[in-house]
Order: sequence, then structure tokens, then C-alpha cells
Amino acid sequence: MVDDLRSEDGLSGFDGQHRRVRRSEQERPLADREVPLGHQEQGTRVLAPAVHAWLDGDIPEATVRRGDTAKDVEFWKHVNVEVERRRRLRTPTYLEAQIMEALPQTVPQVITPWWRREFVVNPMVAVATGVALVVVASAVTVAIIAVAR
Amino acid sequence: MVDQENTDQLIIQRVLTGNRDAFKVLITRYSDPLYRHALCMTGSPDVAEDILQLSFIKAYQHLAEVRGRFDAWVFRIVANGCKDWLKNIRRSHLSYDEDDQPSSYATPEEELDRTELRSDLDRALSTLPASLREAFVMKHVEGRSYEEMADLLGTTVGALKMRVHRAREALQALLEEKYS
Repeated sequence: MVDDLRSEDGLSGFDGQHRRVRRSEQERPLADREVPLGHQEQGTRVLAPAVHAWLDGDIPEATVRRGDTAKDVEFWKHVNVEVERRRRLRTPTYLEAQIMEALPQTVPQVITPWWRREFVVNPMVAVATGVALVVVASAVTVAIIAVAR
Repeated sequence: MVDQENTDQLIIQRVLTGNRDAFKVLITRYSDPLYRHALCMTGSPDVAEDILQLSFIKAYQHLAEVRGRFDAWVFRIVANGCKDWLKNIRRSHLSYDEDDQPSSYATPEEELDRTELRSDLDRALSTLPASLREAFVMKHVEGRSYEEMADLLGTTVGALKMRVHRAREALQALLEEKYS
């Protein structure tokens, strides 16, 4: 899948300004773009790579539970209790019926013009497109040569 | 996953041929992770419900245009909805109550401690830029792999790792004095 659902066309956006902001972001240096720096990050500390690796599940807890990183492990285990709770949150039971009631009664139709729709390039489509382009280019070349003669 | 993708496509075909009720299967299948994402991004159950409802309505209206995985497509609608909401709303304090969530803590003191951590984490998350908050929520709350996140957000694994790392470091700086 290749896009972010064109947030400026109303399909995904809730204010229609998303794409304009992203364009201006793309003009900025990559580092700023990927990690916007806010005033609240001024006091940010640097975590040891081993702690990140443990939090990513790449290394076992025992590896980081000693030395300077032991305190970090304790901190994240504490935070993870709350993170685990959030992981178990469920949608309120009434919401499903509420959404179904709010859906239009009409059958979904194609609304977005074809040139603004999401498209997926899979290997078959890529090969078919490549072959078609070669055939068209060959035909055009042959036609030009024929006319030139 | 492939089976689920196939059944999603079958359900979409049924909806497109006039079986509106079939859409309920897709809502049931995907609403929980989408709700968690919206709730953790916005910090408000009411807003999360609104975003989820609007997103599923948009998904229904544009269902004929789905190409590829429905779950990834609808996730991006919700994620963009959250980011748009965050851009429009600047709130200094975010918190939510969950009266419908049964308490599982042993003692009132433990319950109090957890409630405090909950609101402190909400406050800390609300100070992060949307891109860092999104990366942290997807990695830690939703338990997604970096590859899956990259696929959904259309960015690179390296960029997402950096966002998650920065988010962790910012959160720890904000919370560690109290919770270390």
C-alpha cells in the first residue's frame, strides 16, 4: 500500500490540513522531520542501547538488570504494568451498535476519482505494466521508423 | 493473516452487494485495537469513540475503493483522525476515567498508586509530539513489530526505532523522579 489515504480529501482527515503540513515538513532537514523537537524534550535523558534492546524484546531482562541500567529496568517494569492494562482495554459494548446505526443506508459506491484512489503494486501488476510499456514503446518505435522511411 | 485477509475481502464483497449488516463483522474484528490506539493517542474515551465512529463511517462510504488489506487501510483512517484531532486541540491536561473497567488491584493503596501512574503517564504522553506518541503507543501498547509499524505508517524501520527511543527517553525524563 502506498499512501496515507489522502488525508486532505476527507477520507481520512478530520480537518483537511494534514497534507499541507506534511509538505512543509518535507522541506525541513530529515532529522527535524523524523523527530520533532519540542520544548518538553529539553530534559530528555539518554537510555543505554541495552535498555532499548531489552524493551524491544531483543535481549533478556537479566542482561540489563545489573550495573547502571538496573534502575532503568525497575522504572520500565513499573510503567509496563500500566501499559499492560491499556493493552487489555476493550471497545465499549454499545459502540458497535451505535456505529452500525450511524452508517448510511445506501450501498457503498466509488466516490473518489480514479486518479486519487489508493493503488497497490503487486509483482503481477508490475510485470504486466512493464510488458505493456515495452510493447507500446516497440510499437511506437516501429511506427516512427516506418514513417521516417 | 492470509485467511483473515481473504475473509475480509469476502465480507467487503457482501457489503458491496447490499448486505449492510455484514459490515458489523469488520467492526467487531478490528474495533478493539483501533479503539486502544485512539484512546492512547487522544487520552479521552469520548474523543476515541467519536474518531472510531467517524472512521468506520468513512471506511463504509469508501469501501468500494479498498485495495489490499482492510485492517491496514482502516488503521490509517483512524491514525490520521487522531493526528488531525491532536493538531486542532491543544490541551494541557489529558485524563480519562474508566468506570466500566473492573479494578483488579489488591488493596486501595495499590489502586491509588495505579490511578496516579495512569494519569501521570497520560500527562507525560500528552506532552510528546504526535509522531513520538504514535510510535510509542504502537510499539508498547499495541505490541506491534517495527516492520508492521513501518508498513502501516509508510516509513522506515530506522525512523520508527528512533521515534520510539526518543519517546521512551522523554517519558523517562518526565516520570523517573517520581517512579524510580
